[in-house]
Amino acid sequence: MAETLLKVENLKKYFPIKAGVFQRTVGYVKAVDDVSFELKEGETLGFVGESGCGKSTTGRTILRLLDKTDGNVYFEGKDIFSLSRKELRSIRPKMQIIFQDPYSSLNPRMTVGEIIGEALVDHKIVSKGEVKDRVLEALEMCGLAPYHIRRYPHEFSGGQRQRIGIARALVLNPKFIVCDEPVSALDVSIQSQIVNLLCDLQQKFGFSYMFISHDLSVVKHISHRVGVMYLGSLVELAEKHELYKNPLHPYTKALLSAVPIPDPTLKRERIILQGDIPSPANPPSGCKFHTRCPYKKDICSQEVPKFRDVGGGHFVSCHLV
Amino acid sequence: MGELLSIKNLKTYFYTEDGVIKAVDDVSLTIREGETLGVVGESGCGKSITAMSILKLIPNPPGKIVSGEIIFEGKDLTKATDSEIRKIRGNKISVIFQEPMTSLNPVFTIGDQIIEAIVLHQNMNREQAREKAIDMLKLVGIPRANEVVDAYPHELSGGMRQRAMIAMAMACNPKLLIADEPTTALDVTIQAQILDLMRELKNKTNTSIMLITHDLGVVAEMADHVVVMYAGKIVEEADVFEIFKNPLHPYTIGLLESKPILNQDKERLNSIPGQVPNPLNMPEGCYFHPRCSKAMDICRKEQPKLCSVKDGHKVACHLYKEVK
Amino acid sequence: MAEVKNNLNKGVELKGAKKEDIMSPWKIVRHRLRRNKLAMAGLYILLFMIVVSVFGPIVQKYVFGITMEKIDLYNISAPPSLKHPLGTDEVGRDILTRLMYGGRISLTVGIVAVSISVVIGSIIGGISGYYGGVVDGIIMRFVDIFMCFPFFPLLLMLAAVLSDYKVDPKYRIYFVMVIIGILSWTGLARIVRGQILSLREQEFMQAAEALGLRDRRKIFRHLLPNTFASIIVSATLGIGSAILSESALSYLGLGVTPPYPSWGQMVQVATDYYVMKYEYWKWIPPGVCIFLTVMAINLFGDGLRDALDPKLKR
Repeated sequence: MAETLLKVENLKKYFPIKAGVFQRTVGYVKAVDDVSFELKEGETLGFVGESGCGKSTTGRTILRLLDKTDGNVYFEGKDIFSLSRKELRSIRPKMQIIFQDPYSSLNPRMTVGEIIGEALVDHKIVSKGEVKDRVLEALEMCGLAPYHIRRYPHEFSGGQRQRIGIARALVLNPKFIVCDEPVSALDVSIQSQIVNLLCDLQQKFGFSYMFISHDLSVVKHISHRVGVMYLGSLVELAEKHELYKNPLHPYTKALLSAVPIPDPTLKRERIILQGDIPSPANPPSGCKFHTRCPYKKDICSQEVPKFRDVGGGHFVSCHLV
Repeated sequence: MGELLSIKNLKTYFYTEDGVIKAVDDVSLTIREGETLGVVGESGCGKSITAMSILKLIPNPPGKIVSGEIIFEGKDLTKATDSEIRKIRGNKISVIFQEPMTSLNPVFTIGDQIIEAIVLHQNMNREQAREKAIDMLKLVGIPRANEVVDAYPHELSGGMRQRAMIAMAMACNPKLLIADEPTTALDVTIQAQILDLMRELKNKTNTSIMLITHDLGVVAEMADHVVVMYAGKIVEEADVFEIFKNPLHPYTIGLLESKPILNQDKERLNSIPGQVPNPLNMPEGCYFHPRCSKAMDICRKEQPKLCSVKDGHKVACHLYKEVK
Repeated sequence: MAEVKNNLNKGVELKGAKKEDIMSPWKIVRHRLRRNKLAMAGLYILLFMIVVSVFGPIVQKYVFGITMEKIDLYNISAPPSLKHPLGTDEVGRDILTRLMYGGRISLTVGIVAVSISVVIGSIIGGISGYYGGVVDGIIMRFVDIFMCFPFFPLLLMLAAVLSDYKVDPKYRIYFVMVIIGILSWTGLARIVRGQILSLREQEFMQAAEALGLRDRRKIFRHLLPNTFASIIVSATLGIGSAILSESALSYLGLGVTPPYPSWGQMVQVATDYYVMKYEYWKWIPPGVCIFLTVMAINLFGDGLRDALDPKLKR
């Protein structure tokens, strides 16, 4: 495949928990805890996991929308966190994000044209006269009509707003787009429109996506490789067919078996996990999954398993493999 | 299996400043004893409003049940007085909502809320009710039930809260459980736990379930009979095997094809073009025709009626002919 | 490629709207406001008051030759008549004219005082909300302390100081405006800060960051326009309470002093038992004016709030 576009090494993001009158730090929520992966050009890397597993925080920290606690992020070989504010600003158009909530992600007081064209103007990417042409082009790519340019976000439905959000990212000609649950808030029949749109755009422009979702079926459809997160850590990462056919981590197995499949004739062996996800402020020792793992051994509660390649680019962190 | 609840030609409208919204428009359906009826549709299709109409939980104004009958145990609930309805609510028919945090009262303990329901509807004093509440919590698989009974809702996790909601709903051995998107707010592994629990309880108590969801996977796993709704109307109705094997309405087909399926690979998803129509400005004829790839002239003029095309398979589409 | 484009364009139509009828957020507010009868009544009363106060004295002066200072010695404390529709006061000045002039002063006090508090409040609240953290902590504690001052006693005290320094009655009124303005910015600062804090969490602010927009643009294009709504509402309602404060001060003789009239000061004559009982025309009209204006402002402000906040729609 093509060259490595993004490289994440041991990324950590801890949120301090503050308490008391003087707001002292009494602990940390380990939202992202030692995550490493690489993303190639034109590739889609899916991230799945349950709520609170840190997948969105990972996406936002990579874009330096949040500050890191530790680790490194290299985008096109540049260390994102060592850039000055000015350098960061100039690199921003190359890495974009699409948000989950199509309602709060668009400024209600700006027209669609302003929303999409704003960054072009601010970065002086094209001359003023050209802005409108670029916006119209982006609208068309995203399946919106030219006359939508003068309208306001509240006049659009959820799916259309998501298209506007995509156009806003697209117009800057980015290389890398973080898609943070872009279809989760949409109805089923609209979801597929947006998924298809993202696929078509990738085909056309060769974007790399980091596709974050809790929906395993959608992630499987859109991604080339898929990573599974649990409590801030990547537990398994592999090519999608490999991962879905041959899951190695017990959590991945349980997750896959829990997804309801629209086929009433299918009878499956289902692994039902006991208990709830522990709080990321106080994660279990050793392997974080050991409290719910049906195959747990003594070593699991004592030692953190290494995230390692078990062959053919299939990464997993489990003592049993 | 006898009929437990039957809705006939229900119309629930909302009168807003901008016009009348026909949230439920001439819906008829039947729930049999011990059966799980899946009601599927996208947001705004009227599936929740249909369920809320059963218990008269429609905010009035602006909402109003305009016409139709809801027959439950031989009585028409649309004509029942408020006190009659209150006797049925939480007793013979209970509801589980999507967001357990907002449907549990944060200032009372879990136990208090279950006990209240039991004392209200069953001939028990508080002591006995408390015992029963603990039993119910155990039944829904809550560990340390005798401690959790004194916990406040915020002390429980999302999955546990939903379990507590189910315990509360099942406390009075209802005949019908209305589950309005019971697992939508939950994670997949927790969803699997809750669905498993609901199935188990149904087998134990023979309660009928009206399961409202947008997730076809959940329907396939849980339901015996399925109703598909679009824009306030039922477009297709059949038993669960039939609807997944042989869907007829273009909307049902579109829904099934637009969802990626975990154990299958598709090059490209089939999507239904366009948007759900604005409820204030419904298209003429069949409400689905602007998005339908098989729309004919008649679809633009005449609204199709829900008719039987096969034994137990009803569809509202001009493509199919009624079979007597 | 053509096929891809076709697929992309497949069936996206705007829900139920005609092509040319664009509803900007402000247009919607106007539309909603127009449907609120009480708010519109408030607006009309207010407009009436403003028009009469602004143009009334001019008409009186050039058409009827009556000014607020002109003394009609033949008609002292006269009841309403054709010449003096609302009668005259104890030195024979036309009450209607003074009322109009008083309206000018009251409304000016309201508007200027509120403008001062809006400027101070938005800047301080904006800084507090945008920078957050320590800055926010310090500013908000300062606001807390400021809010602990009892408003009215402090107002009285400052006004009494003014009287002591024998400030020219002509300039007094400006001091009153400034004092009221300076004492009432805290509430607004809190509102603006709260708004900005919640806006910062909105995803479009994160999007602005991800787009790499300049700070200036983030503040002036994204943050400020979204706080206007609440600033306008609280400013409108603030005008009402500023007018009341001025009236109260003037009633106590500490605000506007003769020969300049203000509504509150005109009501003062009712402290005299005889005037209260027999010369109703001296104090009822200014009282009614205060009541009507403040009520109109409150009705309009509430209507504006409802129109701006779609959540209150039902």
